[in-house]
Amino acid sequence: MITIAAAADLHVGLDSAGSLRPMLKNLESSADVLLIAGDLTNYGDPAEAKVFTDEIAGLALPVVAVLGNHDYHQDAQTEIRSILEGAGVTVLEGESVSVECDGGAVAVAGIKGFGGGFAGASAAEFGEPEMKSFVAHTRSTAENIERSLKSVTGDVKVALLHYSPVEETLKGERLEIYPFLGSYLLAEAVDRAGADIVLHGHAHIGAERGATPGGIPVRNVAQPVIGHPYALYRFHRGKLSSDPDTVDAP
Amino acid sequence: MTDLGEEPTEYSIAHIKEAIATDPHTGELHVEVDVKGAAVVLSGRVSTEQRRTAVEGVVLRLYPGARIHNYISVEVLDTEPPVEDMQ
Repeated sequence: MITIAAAADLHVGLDSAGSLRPMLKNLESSADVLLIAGDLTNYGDPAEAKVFTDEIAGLALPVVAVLGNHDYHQDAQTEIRSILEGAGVTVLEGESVSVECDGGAVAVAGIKGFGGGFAGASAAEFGEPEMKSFVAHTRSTAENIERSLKSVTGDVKVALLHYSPVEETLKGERLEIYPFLGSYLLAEAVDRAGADIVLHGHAHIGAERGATPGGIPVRNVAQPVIGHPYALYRFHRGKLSSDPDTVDAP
Repeated sequence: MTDLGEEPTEYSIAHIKEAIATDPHTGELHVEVDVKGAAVVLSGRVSTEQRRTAVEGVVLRLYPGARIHNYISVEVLDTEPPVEDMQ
């Protein structure tokens, strides 16, 4: 069995020291890997990234993350990435990694993603340069996640995003802001490449569970949605795959 | 900056939301704002008590005479994580 702990939107600030660590005390014994779907920091401040790494110091399980829009706010994303990597966190921005765990290999392809909206109400690469640039960025991230998903193998394959690939996990948010919360291009790319689960954050008032049009489970693991710093997803496969207590996900 | 009540309410709400999102003490994009006369009504959830309080400071820097009704709550997290068995 492989158990993935998934988190997003921790929004660690300078005022967060000491608040996260107590919530992680059982993590090592209950999960094989921790995946973080962006917004590790609140204001994109490298000092906040240092608070985060202090909170997870000594965690004896692999940690893989993508950055979110908050992590980009001060244009210090390179420094933030460096601080995270210095603390042993694998940061993906268009890359992939296969993590060997006791239960099997977890293949993770990760990228922040971007907005643009969903089928029937989405932006197109048309008009002003700014508009074309907006959509082109999303398209580029979608192409990237497709490529990196195809390039990696494991017992469980995960697409790790910050922005949402589907509307379903945004339900609760105002319809007017859907185009700023995700894009169908991300779902289309994941459906083409294949994955066992898509994890994202960003939509604090959204819903946890959804699926791509191709049927791949999508989970919004933003902390305000799941009500805990992380959620656990158990896959009954890999090296110990015959667990009799399997309950099908809806 | 125009005083609260001297401009259409919609503009005041937009200015306050923008300030709460971009101020380094808050950085909060999920605070709801309403303006009723000289009062600013705040709601939503933030991660820490410090940020809940800091939001009031941001509003007062923008509209010093505003009365603030702060209904923002601080997130209370469950003690146990949710668990799901996948196919």
